[in-house]
Amino acid sequence: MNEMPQAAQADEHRPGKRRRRQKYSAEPLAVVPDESELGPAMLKLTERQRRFVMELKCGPVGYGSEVRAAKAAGYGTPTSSDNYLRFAAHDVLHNPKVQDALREVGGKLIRAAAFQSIRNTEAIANDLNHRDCLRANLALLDRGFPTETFHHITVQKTTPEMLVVASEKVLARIAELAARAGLDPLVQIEAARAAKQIEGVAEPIDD
Amino acid sequence: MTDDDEQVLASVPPGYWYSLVLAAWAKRVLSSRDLSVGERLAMLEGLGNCVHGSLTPAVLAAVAPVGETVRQIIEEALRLDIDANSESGELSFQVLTRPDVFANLLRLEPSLFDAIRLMSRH
Repeated sequence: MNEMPQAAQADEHRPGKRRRRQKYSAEPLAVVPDESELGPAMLKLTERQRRFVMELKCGPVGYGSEVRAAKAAGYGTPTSSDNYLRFAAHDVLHNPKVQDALREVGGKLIRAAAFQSIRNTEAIANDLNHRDCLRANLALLDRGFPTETFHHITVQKTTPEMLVVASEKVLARIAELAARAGLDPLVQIEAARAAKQIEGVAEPIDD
Repeated sequence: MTDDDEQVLASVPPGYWYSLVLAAWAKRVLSSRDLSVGERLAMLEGLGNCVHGSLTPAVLAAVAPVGETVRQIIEEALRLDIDANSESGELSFQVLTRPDVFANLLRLEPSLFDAIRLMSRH
């Protein structure tokens, strides 16, 4: 009846021995879409990198998920050690092109999930017995008919060129740098003095 | 160029060749009176920042301003970076440190080779 070898039986009953179960199956879970359906970042990847990205997208999330995705994408061989696969997964995951593709695929997921979120919020808003009914209605109202809108505008004011006045301090610095570079300091100072200068005091103007 | 000269040249990495070429070009630009005070100061600061490793102040001082022909060659090379919107200077570096191009620059501007000879002694 019991065909288990003696050594295996001994292993099973040894109290201190801990065997880590493989967390995820390395079976491929994702299908890479046709090139016509891929975004520009995904198109820049190799076939194996694309499979890696899709496996990460479709596969389980958590510890070991990158290694699983690497295995499923075809990195390593059946005899590759865990360390090698961990290294390969780290390497491909930190490739800037792969990072771009992950952002691209992730963005699509978020945008697609947003519709489901709207539907869920709508369902809660219509359920008068739901404890978050009011909150869901307010959230929908806020997005549909906002009472207040915010616009973030960044205004960067730059001067067209660096304005430096030929003060004594500036001329002394010019002389010092010129001498250090093997140029004639007097010629440089003279040229700086002769350069076009802006006279006057700048004042801010209120729009 | 003799074998000895080639050995001297080979003893200095191309990164330094590029720095020397740009320093010689900057000196030429600084000889012009068309610069504003700010531009002149920025260019001199840039020249000062060239000093590193074997490129000592003595080496920098040995570099003479380039002539008109070399100025045009260098500016054409620098334009490649501007056109490609590259701030790293990679394209001009590739062109200016190509052995045949750099050999011509050395022929036209012997002070560059004097500077390289000084560097090879370090």
